[in-house]
Amino acid sequence: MSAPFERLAELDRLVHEPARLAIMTALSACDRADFLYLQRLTGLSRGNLSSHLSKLEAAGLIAIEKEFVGKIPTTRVEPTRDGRAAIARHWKQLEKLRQATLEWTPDASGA
Amino acid sequence: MPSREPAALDRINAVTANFFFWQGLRWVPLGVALLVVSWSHGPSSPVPKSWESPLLIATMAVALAASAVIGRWYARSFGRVRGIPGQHARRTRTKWLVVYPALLVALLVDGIAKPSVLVSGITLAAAIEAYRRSTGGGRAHYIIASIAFAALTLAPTLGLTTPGAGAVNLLIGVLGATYTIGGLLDHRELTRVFPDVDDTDTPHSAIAGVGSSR
Repeated sequence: MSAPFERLAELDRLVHEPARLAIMTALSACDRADFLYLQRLTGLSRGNLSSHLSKLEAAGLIAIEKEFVGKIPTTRVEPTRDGRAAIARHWKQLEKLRQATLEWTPDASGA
Repeated sequence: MPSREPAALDRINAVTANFFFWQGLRWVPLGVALLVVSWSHGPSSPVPKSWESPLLIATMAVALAASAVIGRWYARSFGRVRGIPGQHARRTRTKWLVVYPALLVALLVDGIAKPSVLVSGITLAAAIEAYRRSTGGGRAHYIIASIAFAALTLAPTLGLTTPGAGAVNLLIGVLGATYTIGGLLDHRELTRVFPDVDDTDTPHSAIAGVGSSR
């Protein structure tokens, strides 16, 4: 049996990156959110948030929709079905990892 | 990883799922309106009896309008979130089928039967705690409010108010104060969840409480 820490490598790095984990965690709790909300929630600059959203969109985890509300351009972000599944799976993995870490003893694994 | 990471992410989840309820300033006008209603119906109020109902309607109308304006300000300042359809269905059902009917019955009992304990006090205490838990937890000020309402149950017994209309009026006043103070503290908690936005586009912009974004 591998040490729990070795299983860290099995985590999806695209989702596990802290900013993207926060974005996906927020999006998993709603139907959709706009760019401003995600920016306020993460504290990221517009450029950094755009960059993270582009990566998530390229991976098919979110869908981005741009539209005008009156004369104001708005960017809406929605998690895809794959995105919801990915974040749920990620949290499950993290929880398992946490549990395994609590139960793990170096002797039992031969470390 | 800092140990507070899961807690910060839990909070992000809770606030996003309940964003509407954490927009505390929305509730302040309603709280002030309830305080005005309680004051205008109080024994030392200078408001003539005939003015009480129009004042009640006008105060509530102003409060609702102000709350809508504040809601638009939240959307401009903090962005918009659309909840998952049906996510709060259980809470909505419980609210309309259990909480509101229970509050109505309790108010009727207090107003008509005039018992020596304020039944609405303990009912509101339970309702506030249920509200706190079902809208993302945290916010210790609602636990304090809940305890205050539970204690208010004994107000007529302790001679702090007369049973009946006097006790109900006191309850409305305390409810107004709860909305006002609770709303202000909700807003403070919301702004604490949202870190200052880093407008410099560096690759090291950080998420407060979550770690580096690198």
